[in-house]
Amino acid sequence: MQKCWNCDAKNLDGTVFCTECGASLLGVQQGKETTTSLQPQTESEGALFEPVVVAEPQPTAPVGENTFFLVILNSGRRITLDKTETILLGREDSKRGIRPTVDLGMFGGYDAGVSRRHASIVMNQDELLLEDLGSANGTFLNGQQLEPGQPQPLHHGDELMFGTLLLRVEM
Amino acid sequence: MSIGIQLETILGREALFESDEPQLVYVLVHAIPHGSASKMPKMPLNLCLVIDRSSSMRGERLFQVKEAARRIVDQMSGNDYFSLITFNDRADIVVSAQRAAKKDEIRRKIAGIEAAGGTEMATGLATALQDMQRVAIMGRMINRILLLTDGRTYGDESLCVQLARRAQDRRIGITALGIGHEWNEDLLETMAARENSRAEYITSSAEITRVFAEELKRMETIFAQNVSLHVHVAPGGMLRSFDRVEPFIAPVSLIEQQDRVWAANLGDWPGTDQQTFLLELAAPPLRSGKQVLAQLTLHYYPIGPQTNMQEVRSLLPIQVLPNSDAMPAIDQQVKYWLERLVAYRLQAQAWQDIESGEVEDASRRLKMAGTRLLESGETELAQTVEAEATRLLRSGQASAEGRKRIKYGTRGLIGQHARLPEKSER
Repeated sequence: MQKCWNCDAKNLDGTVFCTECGASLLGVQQGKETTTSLQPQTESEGALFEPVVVAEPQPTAPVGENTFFLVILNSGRRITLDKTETILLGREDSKRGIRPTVDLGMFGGYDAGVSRRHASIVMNQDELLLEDLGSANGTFLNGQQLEPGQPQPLHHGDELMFGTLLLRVEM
Repeated sequence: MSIGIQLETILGREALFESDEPQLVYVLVHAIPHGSASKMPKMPLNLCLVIDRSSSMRGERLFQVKEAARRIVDQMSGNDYFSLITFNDRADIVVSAQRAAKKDEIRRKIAGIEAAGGTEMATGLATALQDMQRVAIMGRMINRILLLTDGRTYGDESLCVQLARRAQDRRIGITALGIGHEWNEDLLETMAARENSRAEYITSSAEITRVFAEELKRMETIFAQNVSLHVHVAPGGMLRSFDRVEPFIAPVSLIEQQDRVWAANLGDWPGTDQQTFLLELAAPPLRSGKQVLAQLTLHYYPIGPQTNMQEVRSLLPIQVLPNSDAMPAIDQQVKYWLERLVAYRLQAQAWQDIESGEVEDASRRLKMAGTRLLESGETELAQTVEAEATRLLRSGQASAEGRKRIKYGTRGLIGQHARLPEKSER
């Protein structure tokens, strides 16, 4: 069984769109890792993604030096990323050939107003820089809207908002 | 050359994992007519047009209907039967069921139709049924009522549905066409909720001729009747749903005829349409190796000299892998149709929510339907859905036009047929 990230309904394994609410379960069921700050599971048969309750992020166990994480707060999904790569955040649109490194379309990005090419993260002299790519609904770093084209440094625990989709940085 | 139907199946994922739990498997079934229907002896058609001539039809609408009817008469052969009934507050037999031979006379009668009065559909339907049955009883034919209306009928809705059922039980299919924004889509849909029948939304009178012509073409190319599909599922499994997705989305009613054998009645089969079905199958817990999920059997009676029942079988094998991390990717074609089907289901549920006063639920479902449509590439329809979801929250109700556009658009029953998915990608 899997639980829908959007409405909590139970779905048979293999279900692509939640039978109750129609949300896409693709991508979610494969990533079974959760953040350290997730609430303990309340149901024994595998509530994979309980809604995240605001909690101080704890530095995670040491991982590869070049790795950092983005946690999608509505689903609890944690995405592992490589610091040395240029990371495009947005929504995949195969017709236009847009294939972001992180496809937020799988996490309700459309409803949240995430642009196809929303923002990028690049490493510059040991610093991770977040840049808004002229998105329609804006990129926010700890509540402050970024000027398009003006990269800002990221730190552990930073809260990002793309449109209305919330993410947290963990390093 | 032999004529028949071929089955092709595509699994949503090419493999499953070994599991102690049931898993959901999506199966896309293409049923493809092969051989050419035009080479067969043609079966006579028995077509009855039932036309609303209430005063709101005056002008362009009635003009286009008359033009479309004239063209149909032009195209029918001398062995086909044609009739035309009009209705407003009463029903008139404009052309009584007859061979489409004296075409000039028939055309003259069509030209004399004028718009006036109200809308009482049941009398029109009853008259049509009575008139065309005289002919239908004479032998094997392809019978159809083509109903066109632009308004609401008052007080005789249940009689309309009864008449439709009576016709359908006698193998007379119904195509119910609504034009404009005033007609009652619940009624037309209920009337057409049988195999062999469909309801369609005509958004502009300029489309009438094309829709009529397509309907005639569909009748002419029918090459099999009484088509049914049986799905025999492996022990412990279950067929959860069965929907037609091509040529248009429509749930198919399922009966579990015997233990683990589900039967779906699919009606007559026009050779112009490839039909595609999407099955949701709950697979039982499976051990690794090659396993058979189900067997599909299609039965049909071809039209022509060879009329005994034909049978096509197809097994549904799947590879079950030892549990590992990488789930095989979902097939893009399956995902495309599934996404559209989910959008259709969500909007259908949303209208029910509205009926029971759950406006917020309805709005949420419509929004999700919009997301699904957008991701399957239906941008314009997605925007209509989004707009109605917003309107719903603001005003508590949806617009009549938006509702119709969404209901028929999600099924692929407005104007153009549904586009096929791109087969490339991932």
